[in-house]
Amino acid sequence: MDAFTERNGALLHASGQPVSTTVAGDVEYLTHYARLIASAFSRGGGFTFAGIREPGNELFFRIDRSGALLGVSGTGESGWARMLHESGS
Amino acid sequence: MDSDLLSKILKPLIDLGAVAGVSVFDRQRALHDSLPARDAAELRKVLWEITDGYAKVGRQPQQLAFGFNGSGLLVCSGTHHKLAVVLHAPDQLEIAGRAALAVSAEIEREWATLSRETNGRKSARVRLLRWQDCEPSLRAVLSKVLASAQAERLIARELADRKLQKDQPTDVPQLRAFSESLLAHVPLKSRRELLRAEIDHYLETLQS
Repeated sequence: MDAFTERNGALLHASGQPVSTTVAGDVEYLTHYARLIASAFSRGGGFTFAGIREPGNELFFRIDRSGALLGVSGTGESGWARMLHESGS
Repeated sequence: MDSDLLSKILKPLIDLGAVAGVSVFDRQRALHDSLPARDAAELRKVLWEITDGYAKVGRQPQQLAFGFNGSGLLVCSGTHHKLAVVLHAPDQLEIAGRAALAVSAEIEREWATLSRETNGRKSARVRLLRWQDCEPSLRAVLSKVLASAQAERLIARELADRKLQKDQPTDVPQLRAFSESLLAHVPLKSRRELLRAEIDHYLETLQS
């Protein structure tokens, strides 16, 4: 799994390389719908994480207390479990 | 799908104790719904919209997850249905996510079995339809404006002209064409229309 964060409005890996367009597109797409869903559940505080599982691939990202976006994508151990553990949820 | 069967399939997921609500739904309706959402119907529509967006680019997500303050939402996608699960706490996401995938796969299997059985019954009904089964009904309809013996002669002549045996199989399109030929022998237009409506009704009963 490759980790990434948001810096100055761009999604970057630890190496400083930008994430793939697929990952960037997924983050934007899921963020849009996560906000809609939060509204349907009357969760005024917005969303805290979103993820997607498909054959051979996972993506998970969360918003930390400071509002920064942290994410993982790719294959391997479950990114969902890892990120939830790290966030202390 | 039978609600008892669905409840049985959902039980292992609900028994996890982490689940605040579940919905199983297709595009038309919810087969089971206990989601604690302000507008569950709107939420279901949004969830279809998300996966439809992925389908347009050739992707089929097995599962989506969304977290909010103190809760989480899991969504599993089958060919025919979606399973949405609201969790009490997001730390149950991984365990509930695996359980939800297993439950969703079982719903999909049951759905496929039911579809096969339903289609099989429809095919069997069509295979069993023969001219001799339909003749009495057609005769009864024609007898509303013609003498019974005349109606019987008309049908017998039409069968002979088409070289049809009474024990041969037929179907609704053939019966419709056959009926139109019979109606051509009914003199008044108003009577023809009356009989056409009766025959249409009869043909609909064969398809239901």
